Amino acid sequence: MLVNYWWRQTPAWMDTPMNTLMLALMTIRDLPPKQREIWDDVFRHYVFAANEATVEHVPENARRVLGQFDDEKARALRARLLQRLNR
Amino acid sequence: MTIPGSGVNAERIRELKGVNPRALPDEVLASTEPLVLRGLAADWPMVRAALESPAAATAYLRHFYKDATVVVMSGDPAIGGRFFYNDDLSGFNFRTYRTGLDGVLDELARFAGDSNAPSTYVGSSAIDTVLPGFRAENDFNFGARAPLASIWIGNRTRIAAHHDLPDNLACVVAGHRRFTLFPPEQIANLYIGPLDNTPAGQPISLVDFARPDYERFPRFAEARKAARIAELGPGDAIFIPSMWWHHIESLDAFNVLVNYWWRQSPAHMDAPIGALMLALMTVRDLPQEQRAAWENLFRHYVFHAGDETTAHIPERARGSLGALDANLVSGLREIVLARLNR
Repeated sequence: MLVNYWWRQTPAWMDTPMNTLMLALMTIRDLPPKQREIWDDVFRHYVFAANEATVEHVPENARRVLGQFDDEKARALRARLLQRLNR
Repeated sequence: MTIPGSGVNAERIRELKGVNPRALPDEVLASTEPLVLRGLAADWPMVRAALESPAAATAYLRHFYKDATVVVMSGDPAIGGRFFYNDDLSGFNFRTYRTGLDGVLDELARFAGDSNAPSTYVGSSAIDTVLPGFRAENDFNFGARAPLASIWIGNRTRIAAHHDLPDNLACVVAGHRRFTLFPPEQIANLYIGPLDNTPAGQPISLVDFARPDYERFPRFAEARKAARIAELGPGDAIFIPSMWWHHIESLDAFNVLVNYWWRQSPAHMDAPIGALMLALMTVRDLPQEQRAAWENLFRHYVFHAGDETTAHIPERARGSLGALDANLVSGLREIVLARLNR
């Protein structure tokens, strides 16, 4: 018998990245090689290698998804993506 | 040729000669580098009219006008043709309204001789909707590709550097345009602004190319070195590959561009921007080690995926890891939708 405890270090609004990975499989994996490379670069820039400098040049009030998320912003983005996907 | 305000010589875009507009080759349409095709539309009636005079060009366009309305971007003379944000990026420095295309042509003609004219721009309007019949006389042959054909009409304007997902063949049919292109990897040196609050749908560079502020945007000096420039006149075309940054200046009192957009990927593949936005929310702010682990997973399954990635899984069990078709994608979309709808 085993008892285990699972928890995440991340806030509740932060969905699992699994969904993002699935979207990436659908929309990026099968692009022509050169285009896929370009998106690799875009993800590195905005996501994987992002730091404070990445959006320093954008005024804070205008950053939206480029800025810090919170519960409200997460909900708004989910709603927008739902709309986009519902086609 | 120099970038305005930079005083630095930029590389010219490669020019390809002898391309047949009645059978555009893959060498052009699947290129991964930009190309200039001089005179590709030299025999279009629209181009011949524009070479005669702006008035003849306008009269030719009116010939196809029924009653379609278009979205007009309109800016005070003070913006100098640069459609952009306002000072704190809380809004824009122009207004948009919808009106009949004939009214726009009237206005452009009325201000043609006025050096202090307001900036007027009708961007990406579907030709078959606003000028039905135009393409029967002015068109290229794209073979099996079915591009979206649009028309762009305005006076002296500057459209900030941005990129588009589809491949793009753009053809100046009246006036002159200067194109300044940058390879996709210049993204960090172009200081791209907001992703989801944009003047015309696509994120733009915050750098004013006519007066670059190198204190605020020092890395733009690097971008400048990678710039490629071309100036096009009536009948000249340019191929802009997917995701190449382009800054476009319209140089005359009356300019018209026709462009074709198409994607090399099947219709069931949505735009990657949705995945990017979701990654901003679900991956970017993870603890560092976790983010690195996900980067690895994305590299493995997406960016570096090949046949060997899933060779160890029987084909029927691969699910989203396998080859995707319209059916499978629509099933996956349902799953993603259900998870988002929480």
